[in-house]
Amino acid sequence: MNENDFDLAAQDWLQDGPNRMSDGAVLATLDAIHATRQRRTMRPAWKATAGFPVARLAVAAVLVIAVGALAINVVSRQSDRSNVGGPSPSATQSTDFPKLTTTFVSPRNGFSVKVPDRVSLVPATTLFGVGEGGSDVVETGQGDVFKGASTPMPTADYTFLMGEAPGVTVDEWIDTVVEGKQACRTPRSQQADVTIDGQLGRIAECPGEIDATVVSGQRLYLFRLLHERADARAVFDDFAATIALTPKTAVDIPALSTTFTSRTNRLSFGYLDRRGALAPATELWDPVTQPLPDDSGRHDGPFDGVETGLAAYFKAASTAIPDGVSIDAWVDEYVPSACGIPRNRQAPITIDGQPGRISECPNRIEATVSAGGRLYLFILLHDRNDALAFFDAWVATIQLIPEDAAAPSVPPSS
Amino acid sequence: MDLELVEAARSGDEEAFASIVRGSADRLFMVAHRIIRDVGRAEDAVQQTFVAAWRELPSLRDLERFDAWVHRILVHACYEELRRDAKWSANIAILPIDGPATPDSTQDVVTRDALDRGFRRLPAEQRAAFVLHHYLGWTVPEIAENLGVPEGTIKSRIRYGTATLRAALEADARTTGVTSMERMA
Repeated sequence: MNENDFDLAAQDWLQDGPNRMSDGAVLATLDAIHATRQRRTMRPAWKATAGFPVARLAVAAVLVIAVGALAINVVSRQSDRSNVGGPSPSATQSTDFPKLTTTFVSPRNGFSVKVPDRVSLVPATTLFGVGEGGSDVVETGQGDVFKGASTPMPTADYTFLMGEAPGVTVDEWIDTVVEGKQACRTPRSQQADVTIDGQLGRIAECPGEIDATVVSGQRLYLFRLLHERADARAVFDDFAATIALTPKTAVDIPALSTTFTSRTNRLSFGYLDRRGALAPATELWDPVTQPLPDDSGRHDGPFDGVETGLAAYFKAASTAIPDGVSIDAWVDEYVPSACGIPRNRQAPITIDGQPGRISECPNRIEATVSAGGRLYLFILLHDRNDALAFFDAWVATIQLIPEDAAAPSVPPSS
Repeated sequence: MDLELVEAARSGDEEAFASIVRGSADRLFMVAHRIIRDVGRAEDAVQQTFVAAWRELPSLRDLERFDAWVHRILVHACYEELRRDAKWSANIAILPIDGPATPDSTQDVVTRDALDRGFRRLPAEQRAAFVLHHYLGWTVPEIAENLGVPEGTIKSRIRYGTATLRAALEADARTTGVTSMERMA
C-alpha cells in the first residue's frame, strides 16, 4: 500500500462512525452548563506575568500533587500588611535563635538552606503531597520547625485551555490549588512580598506559623515555619536569607517503596502505594493468540498495571517463549514495538541483570527482556518530561522470577 | 460560527451559549469519537468541553478564534478521557467490522479492522494529531497553532501514528497472506 492509498484508507476509515451526539447527552451538557458559573477575570492575564511559562488551569497530576500537598502543608493567614515590599533580610534581628551554620541540601526538593548545628533533620523521601515525607523538616529543638518543599508548576503540556484564555495568573493558580484548604483565605495576590534567593514570592503570617511561596524554574516552593516565639518573622527571614533555589536538582519521582509480586507474570516491582493504584493481571499473557496491548486498556487483562497518578502508567507482563527462537524476531513478530522500532535496533537496557531492549516514542517507553525462557514486557505510558528517569526508577525495582514454582503457567505458543 | 452568539455568550447569555451547543455538539462529538473510539466517553469529552468553554469564555479575547479554542479544549478533554484512571482498564467499544456504514469489500473490512486495532495502540496525542489531520483536514501548521504545540511535534506525532497504523496494516497483510497459503496447502 503506497502513501496515497494509505491516506485514502485512513480517511475512509475515519469517516465511518457515529455522526450524532445523543439528545440525552446534549441535554445533560446544557444542564451542566446551567449549573456552572462563568469566571469573570478581574486581574491581568497569566501571559502578562513575566517570567512564567504559559500555563492555565492544570488538569494534570501535578495539580493533584499540589492540592494534596498544600492541603496538608499550607495554612497561611495574613495579619500584617505593613510587610508589603519584602523584608529580606529581616528588619528585626532574631534574639535567642542559634546561628545558621550548616548547609542542608534537600535530596528531592531542589533547594538548600543553612540550619543550626544541632538540629533534627528529616529529609524528604518522596514527592511533596504524596503521603508523608514530601517535605524536608528541620526541628530546631527550641519548639520551632522549619519545612521546605516544592512541586512542579503546570507546563504547557498540561494546559487544558488555550492561548490568551483563560488568563489565570500564578497567584490564581496557587489560590485555586489551596482553595478551601487554608485557614487564612487571603488571596495570594494580597499577601506580603518576600524575596527568596532573588525570586519575588509571597508570605503570610499567622499565630504560630509563617508560610512563604515562591516560584523559580517552573517550580513552586513552599517554606514554612511553625513556632511559638515573638521574633518568628526574624527567624524565618534568617532561614530565608540562606536559601538557594536549585530547581534543576529537584527530583519529581516518587519513592517506589511498596513491592508487588506478581505470580501471574513472575516478577516483582516497586510502586507508589495509593488507593486504586495497582491493577494486578487477571489472566496469563499469550501474545500469539491475544490482541496486542494498546493504550485503551481493553487488552490489559494479562498486565500488572500501576496508575501512578503522576501522569504515568506502568504495566508489565511476561510470557513463555518457545525454545530456539530468535528473541528479536519473535518479539518483532508477536509483540512489535508500538514505537515502530525493530527490536535489534532498539537501545540496550539491563533489567534485573538481564540484557534487554528499550524503545521510546512520544508518551511511551517500552522495554523487553528475556530470562529463564520467558519474555518480559514493561511499558510506561506517560505525559512527563522526565519519563525516562521515571522508567529507570521503576526498572531499578524490578525483579524477574521466571522460575517461580507457584506461578500458573501455560505452554508457550509457537 | 455566529460571532454575535459567541459575543452574547461571552457576556453571560446562557441561551446564546445553548444555541452554540446545539449547533456544534454533533461536529465536536464526531471529532471526539474518532479520537477516543467510544461513544459514551466521546460524549463526556464534549460535555466537559462545553462546560469549560462556558466557564472560561469571558476571558477569550479574540472571538474569531472561538472555534479553534473550543477544538483545543476538546482535544485536551479527549486526552483526559483517554488517560483517566478508570480508562486504563476501559471498555472501549469495538467498531462493527461486519456491518460498516457503507457497502464494503472484504479487503476493506480487513483494512478497517487493522486500522482500528492499530489506532487503539496510539498514545492520545498521536490519535488527536492523526484525526485532526486526516479527518478534519487541518494542516500541520493549523494543528500546531490551534493546539499551541510546535509544528515539529505535530509532524512527529503524525509520523509516529502513521507508522504504527501502516505497521498494523502490513502485519495484517502478512497474517492474511499466511492464512491464504495455509488454506492452499
